[in-house]
Amino acid sequence: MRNAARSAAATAVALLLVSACGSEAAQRGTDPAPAIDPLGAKLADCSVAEGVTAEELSKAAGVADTSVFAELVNSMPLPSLEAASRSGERVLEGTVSEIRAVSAQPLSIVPAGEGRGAASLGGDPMLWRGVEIDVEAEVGVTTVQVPLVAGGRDVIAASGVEPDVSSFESLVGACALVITGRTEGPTVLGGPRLVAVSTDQGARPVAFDPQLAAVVEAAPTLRALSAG
Amino acid sequence: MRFARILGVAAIVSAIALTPAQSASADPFGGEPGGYPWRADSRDHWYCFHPSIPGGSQWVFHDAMANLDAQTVMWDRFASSCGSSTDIIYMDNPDLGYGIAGAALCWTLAPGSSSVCDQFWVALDPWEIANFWQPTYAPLDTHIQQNIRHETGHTTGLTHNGTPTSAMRSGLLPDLGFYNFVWMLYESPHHVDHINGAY
Repeated sequence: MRNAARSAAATAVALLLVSACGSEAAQRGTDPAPAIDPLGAKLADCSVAEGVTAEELSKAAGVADTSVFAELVNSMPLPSLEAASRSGERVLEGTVSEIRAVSAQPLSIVPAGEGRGAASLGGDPMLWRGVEIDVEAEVGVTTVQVPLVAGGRDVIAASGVEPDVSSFESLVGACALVITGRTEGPTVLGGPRLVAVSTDQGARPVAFDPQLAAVVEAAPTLRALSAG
Repeated sequence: MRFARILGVAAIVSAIALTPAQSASADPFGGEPGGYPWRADSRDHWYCFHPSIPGGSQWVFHDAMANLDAQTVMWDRFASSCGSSTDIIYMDNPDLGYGIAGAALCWTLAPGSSSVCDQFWVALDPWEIANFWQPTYAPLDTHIQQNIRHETGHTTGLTHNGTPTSAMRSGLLPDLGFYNFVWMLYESPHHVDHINGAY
């Protein structure tokens, strides 16, 4: 059913756009679903600071969810982790190890060759400002970029949005589920995403990515979410 | 031509009155405190196409801008080439990110302002919609057209809000059958009042 839907969707897009890109839609629509990684041992190491509760984690997740950037993007709810990772990304379990403020990084918004985006259209680049969250997993550290605002240089400067790392500090030590990104280069939209966090792998997961909130909220524990 | 367009859309706008309406003060608007940060610089809304927009699909964008023109006080102004005075540069980007259908980002501000945008870049990923669309939702072409109108709405200052049935709804669209046309429209009077009040 899903393949049929994808096929119909790709056909409709091709008809509507009447472009060479239609073949890409068809190709993307038939990507095989990769296997989800098994639960990593790193989850056992997660340990939030004393007193940090699921509510604290929710508050940190809400900072990103209600940001100016969230208002800038039209996003669709993703039906499953498999759907969100079916072009070769992997689902990783780990612990949040570090959070940094980022003031002005290039944002790949302009279409460019070889499937990679560019930040500039021949002038000043499009930028984003927010925080970076390091998640340490067995395979190494994955950095998740969390934009709070995006725009041109003067737009960012005038936005008044200043990343406050302390708003996210409760996440340090939390169990985390991450989907690795599919795009290299200056991007946040196609980069790794933090799906969920929890105080313990046996605790209820807290949704960090609004697109996967329904999937996360349906899982009784982070372990169960990871296991699919 | 413009008159005929207005007549056509007016009939549809009358039908949308079937949906519950909110007052324009019910949610924030671009440039207002607590609202979406940016709005356009004037009612003349100039737009152009990045080379990534294929010639065969440009009518969808013209249609979206014509709807904005017909529904509100704003004027659709097409520029055959993009320049510093163009208000919107539309671009297709097939690699925006999983589940990301579009984004409207302000690239540069109007002189002396912190909330009036001189030029928006609107990036769209119709392929991403196709990846997640299912036959149980509104038709795919409805989604693709709505996505353009949605992002165009952001360039006027409209926000995502609780409006259940309009172009400003984010995400996948329920299939409303005959009433799927509501996804093509800014809600009247709610969105329309916002725009008409600002420009």
